[in-house]
Amino acid sequence: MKNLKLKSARAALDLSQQDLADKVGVSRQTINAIEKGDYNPTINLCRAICKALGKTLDEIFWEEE
Amino acid sequence: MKQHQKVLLGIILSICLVLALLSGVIFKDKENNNKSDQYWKQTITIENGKVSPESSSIDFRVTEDGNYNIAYSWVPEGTNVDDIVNMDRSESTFITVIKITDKDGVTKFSTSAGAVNLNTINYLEAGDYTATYYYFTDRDTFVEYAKKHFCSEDEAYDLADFFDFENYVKDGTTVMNYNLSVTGEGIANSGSPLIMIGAFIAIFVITIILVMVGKKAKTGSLPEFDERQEIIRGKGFKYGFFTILISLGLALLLDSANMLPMIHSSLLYTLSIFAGLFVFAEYCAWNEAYFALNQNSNYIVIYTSLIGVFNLIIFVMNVIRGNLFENGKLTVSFLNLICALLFLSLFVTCAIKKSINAKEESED
Repeated sequence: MKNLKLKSARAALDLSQQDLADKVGVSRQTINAIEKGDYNPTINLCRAICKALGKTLDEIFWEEE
Repeated sequence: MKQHQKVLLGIILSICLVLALLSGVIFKDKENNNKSDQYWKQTITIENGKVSPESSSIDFRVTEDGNYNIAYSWVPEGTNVDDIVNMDRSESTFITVIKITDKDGVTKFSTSAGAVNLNTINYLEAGDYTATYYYFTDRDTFVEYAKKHFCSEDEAYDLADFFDFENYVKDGTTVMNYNLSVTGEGIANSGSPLIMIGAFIAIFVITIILVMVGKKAKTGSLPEFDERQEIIRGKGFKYGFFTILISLGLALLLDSANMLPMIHSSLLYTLSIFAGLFVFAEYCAWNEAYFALNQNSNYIVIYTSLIGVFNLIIFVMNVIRGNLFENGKLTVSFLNLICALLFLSLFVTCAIKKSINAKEESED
């Protein structure tokens, strides 16, 4: 399932996928795969992304019912 | 790297490529058209176990240094030369040993097993040579000759036992038909290897330069992959491993059943390994897990593409020189093409992914 919350949080800070990837220490394709829903990150990567975007885990990665 | 350095690097690389390519054309092996084919008869008499004459000789000349295929055969008159492969040495009732010497009497080649026909390739310098045929009907004379010319005393006695003189030497007169054929096999040109060595040294130097200027290590020199890439690479290793297993099994089956006689066994099994490498590399490259986070992918792709191009050049040169097949079988020279395809396919995959990524980034 696509992670639109991640994409919008990133866009709100005017960050490209590469910018976020560099902040978090992963490849751009990994960020892309997470946003597309092709890859489920580990909790450590989730925390790193949230920290980079200034959001909580629920705000980025909690699935709406 | 500054712009003028890139241009200089490109010029050096282009020169190396052109030299390597042209070396095969400019310095291709010269043909050696030397051929001498001689036929003659010799009457050999054995009386009371003594052979007469004890030897005979014939001269030949080669006009160029090179490798020569020297083919000998001798058959008793009345025997069809086509039946020579079925002949046993005992049918001649004496043992023949051949020695080829140059004009200074230095031995260039000597047979020892008394075979009735033989093909051998020897390097001969231009000059005159003598092929001398020595005939033996008794053990002691043969042992003296053998230990003096081509083996130790123990080996000479072993050979004499093997020939079993006592049981098949028979008195009588034999007219033998002899054939000695000396055919040039081609002369290797010394220029081509020098050019290739020079090209490879240049590639080595360029590689060092690329490694030194291309690395953009962030946290050390070891490649670093993110968690997604590690998972993809794990899958890639798994798929590559099973590809090797399956293709090796297939190669074993085909080789043991002799279903691919036109391919050398060593080549068949090596292809299995390349199949696994190809699967791993392509899977990782397509899923963007081939290059680490701290690696400059552009330089690596350029470098591997160069290796691919060089392998392609070497393959083409082998085809031009006729080295691709040996005795009707595909040789390991074919691996140059496989290497080229492996490295160049990586380049193609990376180029396609780069194009897709550029499109994604622009839509982002």
